[in-house]
Amino acid sequence: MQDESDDALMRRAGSGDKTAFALLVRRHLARATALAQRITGNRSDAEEIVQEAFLRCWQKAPEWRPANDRAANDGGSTAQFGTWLYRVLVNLCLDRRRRPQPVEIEAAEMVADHSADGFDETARGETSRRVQAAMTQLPERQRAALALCYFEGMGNIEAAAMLDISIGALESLLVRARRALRDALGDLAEEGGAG
Amino acid sequence: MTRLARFRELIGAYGADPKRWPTAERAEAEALLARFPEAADLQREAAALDALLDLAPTPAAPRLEAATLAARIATAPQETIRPWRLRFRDEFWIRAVGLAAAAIIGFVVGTTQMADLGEPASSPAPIDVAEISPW
Repeated sequence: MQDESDDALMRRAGSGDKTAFALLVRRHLARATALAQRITGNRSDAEEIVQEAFLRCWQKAPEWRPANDRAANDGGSTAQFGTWLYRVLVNLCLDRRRRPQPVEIEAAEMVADHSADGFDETARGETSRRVQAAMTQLPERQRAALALCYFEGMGNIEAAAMLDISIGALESLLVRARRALRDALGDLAEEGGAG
Repeated sequence: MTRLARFRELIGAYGADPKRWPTAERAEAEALLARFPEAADLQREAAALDALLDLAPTPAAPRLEAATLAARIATAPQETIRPWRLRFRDEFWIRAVGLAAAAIIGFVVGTTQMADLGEPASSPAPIDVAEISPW
């Protein structure tokens, strides 16, 4: 079962197979949580949203049909299930009612990556906090576009599909997001950013 | 120049790293980059922001263990698939009831108005032709 595609596991889950469903959760939990955290900027909200997304996944499993069964047979099914799951997740993130927590708390919930090289840890930590704070100030759709395209490395077609917008609209969100970040972090960029 | 304008948009949206550019436009954008110093300047500016974004904190790992979460969720009932015959039957009855309701309303409204037409509230007295005849 370990080697089965996501779609095959989803079909099994649709027949009530809890082991198949557990495997799906294991495959996608970390990435889904990271994406939700990037969009919401809040760990608790992200975890709640991820649970809701997987609950929908379980509930809808009996009705699950890949958009293209032939693609599923050819091994192209993983992306199909992934696209569906992450689309649900992104929508839940964008629909959530509660506003983000104050920036300081959100930044503290993320883990700064200090492992790479000989940077001054304090300076890097401060830069990291400022970057996170600037990202938290972005409108959620801009943050979602940035999370999908920049941090998750998704292609523009897939990211646009997840946000249910055209590629032009996606690019517009990305341009505005990057412009706002450049304005907010201009002094750091002039200093050479990371050094 | 139009291509340079598109290059500017591309860099403005996706950043400096060609790996993030749309596949269909990547080769042309890279060729442009090699030819125009202005394009290279734009890429350098974008790279400075990318370097900052790369310092964004890494999201924390999920606190819930996958197996625990899956087991908890799997206690919820799943949505059942309804056979097409049942769906068709329900849709048939919904339509039938709708049509019947429309027919009854039409009949009631129609007969009420017909009754009104048949007995006007104040019909004028018939004109006696003999009274106005000059003959």
